[in-house]
Amino acid sequence: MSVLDWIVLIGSTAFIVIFGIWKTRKNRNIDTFLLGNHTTRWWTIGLSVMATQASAITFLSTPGQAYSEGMGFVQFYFGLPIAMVIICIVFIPRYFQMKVFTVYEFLEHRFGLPTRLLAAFLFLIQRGLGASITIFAPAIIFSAILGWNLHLTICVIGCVVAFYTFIGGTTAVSVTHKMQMGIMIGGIITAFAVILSYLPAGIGFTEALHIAGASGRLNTVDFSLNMNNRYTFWSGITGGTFLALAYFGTDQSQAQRYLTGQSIKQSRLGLLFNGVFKVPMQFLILLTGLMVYVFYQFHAPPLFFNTQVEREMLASSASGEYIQLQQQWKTEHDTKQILYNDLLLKENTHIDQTALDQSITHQKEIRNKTKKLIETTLPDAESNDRDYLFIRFILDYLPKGIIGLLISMILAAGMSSTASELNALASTTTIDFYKRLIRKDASEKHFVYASKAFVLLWAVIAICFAYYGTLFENLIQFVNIVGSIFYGTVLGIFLSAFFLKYITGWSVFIAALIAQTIVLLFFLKSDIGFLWYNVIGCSTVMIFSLIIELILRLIRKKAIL
Amino acid sequence: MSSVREKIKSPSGDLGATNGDPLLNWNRLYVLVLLFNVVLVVLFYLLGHFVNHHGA
Repeated sequence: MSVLDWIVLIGSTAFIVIFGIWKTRKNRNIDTFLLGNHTTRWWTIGLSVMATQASAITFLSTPGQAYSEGMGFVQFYFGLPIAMVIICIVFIPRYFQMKVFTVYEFLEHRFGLPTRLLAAFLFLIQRGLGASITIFAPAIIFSAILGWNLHLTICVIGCVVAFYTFIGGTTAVSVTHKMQMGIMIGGIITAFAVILSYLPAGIGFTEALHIAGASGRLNTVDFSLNMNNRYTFWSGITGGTFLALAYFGTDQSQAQRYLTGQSIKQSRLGLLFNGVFKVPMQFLILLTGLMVYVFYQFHAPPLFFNTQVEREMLASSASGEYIQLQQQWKTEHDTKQILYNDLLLKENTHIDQTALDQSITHQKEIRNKTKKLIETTLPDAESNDRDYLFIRFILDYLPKGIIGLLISMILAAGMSSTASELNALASTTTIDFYKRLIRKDASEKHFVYASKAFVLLWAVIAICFAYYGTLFENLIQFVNIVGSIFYGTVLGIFLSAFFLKYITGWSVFIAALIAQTIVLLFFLKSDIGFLWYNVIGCSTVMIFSLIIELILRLIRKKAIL
Repeated sequence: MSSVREKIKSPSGDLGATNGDPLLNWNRLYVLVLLFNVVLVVLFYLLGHFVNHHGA
């Protein structure tokens, strides 16, 4: 990275943090610290909700997803607008009516203390792990590609976020989110425009789409009912709605963003803002990845995008084999160039599809051989380089200054998610446990200090977990599995609260424990995909709470008779 | 219809009237947001369809 890149990166990050702290330096009471004194307007809520969801991995992984598998991933977000509307209608009015600090408070009003504590506890476990991964994931990629020290990167990201969340609370998070979203949107639009300008003469946007289409990467909407396809229209509409409902409706890190709203109206408009802009934003990120793919049709891509692994392979005993694969890769790329010549010379608007398919298959074979070779030679190395693709492209090809801007975009995304998570973890610990169980009658000032202490405590936990993250074989998958184990049960509790009117506290509490046990058994004893844990957990809570309620009522009836 | 309306009403019996704006028709807004996304899905589908059949 050049001096200019460092200036852009440090300048933009420092400006966001200092401005966020300066704007919110006078937070004196708990309502201001945790809920921003209910002054947030809809556009801030909307941007804050989007910034919370967009983590560094969104900007690192999503372009790589489009590069390797096409635009189909956007279908994963099709259920999100439906979930936004349901939350606006069902969830928000109830939260506002009860003037809750955390969504788990609502559960006490409806079901009693045990259910509230159970849901809050499940949230703390999964979000505590989530916070560490949002720090760890960008740090490991930056350390591999830029050569930054992994532990120092983790420490710096964690400490900067903890610092402004500690000083300014939820308002600082919202204020910084607005600017971070500005950098994210500005960064991705700049990247898209620069990549387009880098395409060879004669290849405009339309031709680029044709090239991507010829490789089967523009099949955005898949209406097939094949359950083996991970991303289809139907899985997006059903599973996507379900996941978005759990994430935006019952996860305090998201709920806290709209609970700060000036009114129900402002919160609803904020979520609808997300419902309108989320899908186009994801589409733009994917399209940027697709343009990187088209770019690499005319410039030889590296055989493997993770620079660190590539260096290790060249220094290993298998270097001869690796260099041979690199040569094959280059030859195959040159063969493909001939196929695009007619298109470049404008002599034909069509590509020889059979020859292109053959070339793509050959390239896939070479890549698979490379992955196998890496797995055999370096058993501890990550053989999937998709997450490294976009950052490697940025560093290899983009001009000075733009590199700084785009790394700043990725860091902003990582920091925005982590800030929301730390803020929500501190709120839940303070309100649902400390204030409710330990110090009920302490002063406002005391709870502000307690919240700040919990921000620091959770930051330390997240940094420590991220610090030792390399000890786990696959941390990202591990955290996703842990999240899915608990999400279903929590969503089931909330949906029972909203829709099963005559269910009482103990029924849902026992049902939640049963559901959690069943999900854990599925996790331990079966090979079922972990996304299904959400469905199993939620439906088990609802069905069992109905059954238990029925049994309890029968017992009570008999006792009266 | 009235029972469906009752269900989607907030517990306080209003659809945002407490803090809302009488000029905002929420139901219309929800439908508009969903319609916007339906249009996006159709456009995405057409984009893939057009490029695959008329492009390379």
